[in-house]
Amino acid sequence: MLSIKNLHAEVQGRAILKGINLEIGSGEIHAVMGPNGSGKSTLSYVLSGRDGYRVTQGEILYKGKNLLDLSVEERAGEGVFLAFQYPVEVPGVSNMSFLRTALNSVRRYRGDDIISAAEFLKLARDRASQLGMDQAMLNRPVNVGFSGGEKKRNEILQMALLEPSLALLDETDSGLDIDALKIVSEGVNALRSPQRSALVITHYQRLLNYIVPDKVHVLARGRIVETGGKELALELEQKGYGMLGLDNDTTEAA
Amino acid sequence: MANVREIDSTLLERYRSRSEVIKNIFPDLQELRVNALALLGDTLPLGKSERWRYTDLRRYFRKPADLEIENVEVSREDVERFFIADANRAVFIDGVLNQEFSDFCVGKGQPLDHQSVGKVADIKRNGFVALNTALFSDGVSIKVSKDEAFQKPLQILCLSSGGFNGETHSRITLTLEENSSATVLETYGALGPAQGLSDFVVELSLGRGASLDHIVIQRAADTMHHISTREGNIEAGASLNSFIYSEGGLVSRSEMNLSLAGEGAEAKISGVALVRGRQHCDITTDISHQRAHCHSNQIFKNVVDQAARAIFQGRVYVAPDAQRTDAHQMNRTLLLSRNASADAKPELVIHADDVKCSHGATVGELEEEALFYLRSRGVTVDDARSLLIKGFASELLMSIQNERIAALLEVFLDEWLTIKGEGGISL
Repeated sequence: MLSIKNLHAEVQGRAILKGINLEIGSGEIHAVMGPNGSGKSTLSYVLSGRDGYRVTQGEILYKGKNLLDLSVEERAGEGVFLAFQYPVEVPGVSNMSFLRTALNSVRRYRGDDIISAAEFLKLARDRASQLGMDQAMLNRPVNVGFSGGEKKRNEILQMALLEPSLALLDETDSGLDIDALKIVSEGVNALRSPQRSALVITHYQRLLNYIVPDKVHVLARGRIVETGGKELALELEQKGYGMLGLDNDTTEAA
Repeated sequence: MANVREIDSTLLERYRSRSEVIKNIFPDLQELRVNALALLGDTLPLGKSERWRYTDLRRYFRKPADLEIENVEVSREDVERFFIADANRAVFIDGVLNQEFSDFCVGKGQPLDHQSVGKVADIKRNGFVALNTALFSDGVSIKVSKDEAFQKPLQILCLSSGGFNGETHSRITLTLEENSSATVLETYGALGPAQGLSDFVVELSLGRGASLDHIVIQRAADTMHHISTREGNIEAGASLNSFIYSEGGLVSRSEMNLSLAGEGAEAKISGVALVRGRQHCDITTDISHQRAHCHSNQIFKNVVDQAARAIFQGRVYVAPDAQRTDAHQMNRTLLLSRNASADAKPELVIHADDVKCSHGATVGELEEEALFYLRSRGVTVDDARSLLIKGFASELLMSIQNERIAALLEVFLDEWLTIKGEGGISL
């Protein structure tokens, strides 16, 4: 599904990723853990194609295609989805029209028929109620005035509608209480299939009790320094990043 | 300099001889009109003028269009495309009231009530009020009687005919007596390409406790100069809720000048201007708080693309007696291209000490983060931009009470966003 080879990337001239190697097979869920400032979010932005994140070396193959050749929206069309750590507020645009525009853009890209407003309404209400979301949130402007938990649910709602083959979850657990965490995890697990993969980026092990990963990687100073099974996450939780000779915060001085 | 004066005197001479030609149309207003004419040299923005600092009409005044307007036949079918459904109407074609298309004033004798002319609009304060007063050749008066509520919206439809090239001056007076209410739309449009200048002065008079929903839809021909000036007087407990949508005209200036003249008078005015190509759009407001406990709230947004320019000038004046004034003003501009520009000139003049006043102005571009967010969901760059621009502008449409009109403006907004290219706007 995803093959990252010797990936180097910089932001504003500063090297953040310094040789990442990562293989995610179809149907697998991988977790990337690491101290603050290790490059976790940068990895998710590079994969989704955000401007300002410049790849200086290495390659990323996704379903055999060179991901770096594709624009942000083409990647989404190809099935890459990033659940944002800080979902963006979009005043004046109703959540419903945003979601429908997104779904139809992706469907158009994939050569599927666009979905009618009535059909979409039913689908969106259905998915929203599965995630325990208040229907009123569909009519409000995108993320405006949403609580932290509501914003994260809204991300998962978008994921449920777009049905990506590679989901990138960037600190989706931050700001969630335990009930919200369960609901969000159920949303992610519901999409699990042999054709779908996910990369779960998290600082804490807690989320991985609910979204059980096949592999856990530890990212530090722009490199993957340790890879193991789900037990690695538990070990890190108990002993801290110190067990790998790392501080909790590895941001390098600029 | 001498050259400029020469142009001015030629222009003033033109206006003088025009006033001679039309002096018999409204004989009982002759004194007022002569006085207005005498003020033109001092009040028209012919030289440098602070009120017209950002909008320079001297280029137009150097080569003004003809004041003599030929009567052109227009088809009902073409005009009807501009009708707001289920409304009463007064229709102006090239500045002249057309009885055939108007269902409002027919049968009520003289459409313009001479008594109401000059009641609110002061010829000494504003050059275009003076010019309009001296030269208007047609007009209409609307009066809502005490305690009456207009059930249907009233549309004042002002169209220029295809191929029009002239200068027109028309007057509208709108009087709401005590505790009356109405919804009034001023809609400006073009039946085809047109040039020249159209000037409308609208006198708004709201009696005690009256309430007016007022919407301006300015979609004048994009090669035309559009000047529309509203002068309003709002008595105690009366409220005006006004929205100005502006996307037409090569050079446009829409003014809203209000006096909150009685305690508890209220004015909410907001608007959206969409400009591109080489358009120049100027929104100028002047809200005068004359008495205590009055509220005014203004929010205007501009979307400026290509080489266009948007201006917002807003003045709030608080008189010494106007304690407990609540006055807020905000202007936000979205620039979509490097060549687009905007100027904002907020001005607060406060002579009372117990007041709540605020103003603010922002100029920005589309946010990179929001664009990335939408694109990461598969939305193309163009669609993402449109969605964000629409979101920026349509936030204000929610302040419009009449849902049908809000929906219509949303359609215009969508059309504006989908028509690409230079100049772009056609009707």
